[in-house]
Amino acid sequence: MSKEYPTLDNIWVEKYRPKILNDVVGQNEIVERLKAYAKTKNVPHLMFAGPAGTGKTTCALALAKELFEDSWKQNFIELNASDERGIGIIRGKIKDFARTAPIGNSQFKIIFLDEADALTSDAQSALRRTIEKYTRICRFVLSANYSSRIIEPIQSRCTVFRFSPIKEDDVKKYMEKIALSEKLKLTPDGLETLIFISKGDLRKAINILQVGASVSNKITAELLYETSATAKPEDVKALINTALGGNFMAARSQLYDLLIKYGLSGEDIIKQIHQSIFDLALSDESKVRLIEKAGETEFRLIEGSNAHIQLEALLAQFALEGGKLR
Amino acid sequence: MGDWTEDYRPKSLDEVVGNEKALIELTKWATSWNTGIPKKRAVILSGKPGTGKTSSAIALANDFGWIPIELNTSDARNAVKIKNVATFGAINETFSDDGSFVSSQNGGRKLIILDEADNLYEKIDSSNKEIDDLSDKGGKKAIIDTIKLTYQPIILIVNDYYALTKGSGETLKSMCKHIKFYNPYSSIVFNLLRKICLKEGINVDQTVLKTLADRSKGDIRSAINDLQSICLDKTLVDIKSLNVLGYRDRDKDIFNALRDVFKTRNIKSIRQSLSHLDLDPKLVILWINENLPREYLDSGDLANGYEALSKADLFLGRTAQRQNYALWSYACDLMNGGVATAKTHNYPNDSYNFPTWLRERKEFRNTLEVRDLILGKLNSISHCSKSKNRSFLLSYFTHMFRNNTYFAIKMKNKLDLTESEIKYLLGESHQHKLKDILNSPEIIYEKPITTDLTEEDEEEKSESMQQSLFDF
Repeated sequence: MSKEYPTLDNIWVEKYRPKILNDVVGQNEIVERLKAYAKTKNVPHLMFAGPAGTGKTTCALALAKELFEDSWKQNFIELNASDERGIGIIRGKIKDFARTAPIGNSQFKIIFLDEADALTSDAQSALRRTIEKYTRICRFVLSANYSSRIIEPIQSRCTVFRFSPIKEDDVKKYMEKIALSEKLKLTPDGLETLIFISKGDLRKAINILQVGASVSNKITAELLYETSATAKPEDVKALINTALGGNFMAARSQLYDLLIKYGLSGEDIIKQIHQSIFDLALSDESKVRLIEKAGETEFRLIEGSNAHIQLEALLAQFALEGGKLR
Repeated sequence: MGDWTEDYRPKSLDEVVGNEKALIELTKWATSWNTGIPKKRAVILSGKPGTGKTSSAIALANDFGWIPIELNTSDARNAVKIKNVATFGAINETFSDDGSFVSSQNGGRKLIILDEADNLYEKIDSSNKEIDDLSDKGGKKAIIDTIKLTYQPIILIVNDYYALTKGSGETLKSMCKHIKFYNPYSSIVFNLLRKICLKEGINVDQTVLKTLADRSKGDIRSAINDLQSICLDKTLVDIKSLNVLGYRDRDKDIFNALRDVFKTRNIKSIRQSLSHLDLDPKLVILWINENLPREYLDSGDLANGYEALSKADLFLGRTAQRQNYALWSYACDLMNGGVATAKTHNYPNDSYNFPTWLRERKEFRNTLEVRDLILGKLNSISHCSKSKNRSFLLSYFTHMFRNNTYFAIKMKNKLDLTESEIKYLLGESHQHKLKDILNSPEIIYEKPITTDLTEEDEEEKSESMQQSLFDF
């Protein structure tokens, strides 16, 4: 009996990242425009805005490869703003790369600044000057989840492309393609589950598929639910429910686990809390009060407060609102 | 009168107090140099400040007739400097003080002492993480290279053994002998202080010495320093002299302060009692935060108490961001008076806990550092930032790593994962796979073992499936 296995020697999100613009999933209009840029060998400054897993980084990489061909690695630099979000990165690395001449017969080089919305406003202002100064030999491609977090002067210098969540059909086709190449048996309900959990985030879909494949080569709904539920221990839902139930001390120790053991940032947690408020079994008035408190909490985190104290205070509010139900 | 901590630094290992076991180990290692170059060319002495690590190293050099070469934080620290001084000392033969040549074969060795080796390297620019990593690696690499090359004994002295041996320093674990220094008992410190008083001809009340010894918590240097400052220009020292040092029983003070905050409501008197408490508000807020939910059992009181406390915290944050310490007083008033007036009930609670937050943070600090190293390595294969990898990839990656040993081995080789990183990824539940992953060859030719389910016997196989995965 011949054995067939999925190849688990790489991370699939990278393995199946489309290499050329033609292969990019979804985002058809954007891809057409990018192909036109690649053909004319000229690009304006670009801004890719949209949710996670919709192809922003992929498009930037593919564009660079088609523009610069063999010399793409020398003419393209990828920087993550969220790892170094201060002004230092703008004055240091970006400036150094921006002011050196392009290599090969290209007229310019490209700086891909991922998660540009994580830059402080000071850093963004500094970036604005850099963009202007080196525009002759350097193009910027900024990526951001929210374009509104990028200051106006930068937005006005960029052509903004909005990436939308990947359509179900496209996710489906791509999952089937991976399943075929990895010799997975993907059941119809497994496929539906992938589409449902990923909500148009292709990276998430591929990650969940690979976690499933690391257990079995038959991918069913059951397997996916099992693996993806445990794969995300940092879900805040349990935390909120404990607080609503009135057991503050237990909620607090869950919070400490998230912050300390799983190392989530306070901002990660408050964003998840905000999203989950809508699904709680509370009156709409309670929900609005909690949303206001959550907003205040996030604001204070940005102001440099202690994440755990602020979040504990928020949990106390949840306990209070939960108490009104009892 | 000189500095007593220097005057009374032990000249020989016999004079070092406490840590007998460590000293025996140290002597054993030094003796092994008499018969050639031992397998472990360096030792790491780790322990709290003032427990006698540096003193022992210097005393050892004296006892064995070695010339000590010391490098500590007062020297410019970087990889080049370490290499120059240490390797130079390490591979060159010795001249004694009078200029005559002493061959290391004849016992005339040099002892290289790298003091405070856990923070040996100046950070070039703390705003730039990548440069930090590089300079750190460079420094540790220099130490490792030096130890590999050296013909002379090397002693590394650290407070934090983990900080030195984490990440790129992991090789040091196998290259060096590790000797731990513990805090000596207060009776040992007491005897030492008494000896010093005798030699200095000062009559010091025994209770004073006992108090100093107790308070030092085994930090000999601080005990001697304290003794010297209260004995300044005196020949007779009684119990009153202790007041000069402004000591406090901190734990008792913080308990009283908490009691004021939680049990009373007069904000003026609370403010007064708190202002006597010479504690950093950043610490006080953690104590209040820890004990607030233990005290205020009513959910309304709890929410209001936290409202005040979180505002106090906001002011602390502003203070830090703007470096404006005038804002501290608002933070203090809110955390004390604000929390005190939030209550509408009296509560029976009468015991207060040390902040869990601090305890757990300390416990898991090392773990998080390991995690960050893994995230950094994932960067190289994922086109994503560390924070993005943390939110979108790490948990999935961890799962694949645990589920599938083949994947784990592949990733170990690809990302060059260290033992502690693999341990982190496996978690407590999957530690049994550690050996297989570590001992795997560089390249694997066989295909991974996963299950082959055929339509017919799916049902029974699903049970044996788990089994076969763990077997692998």
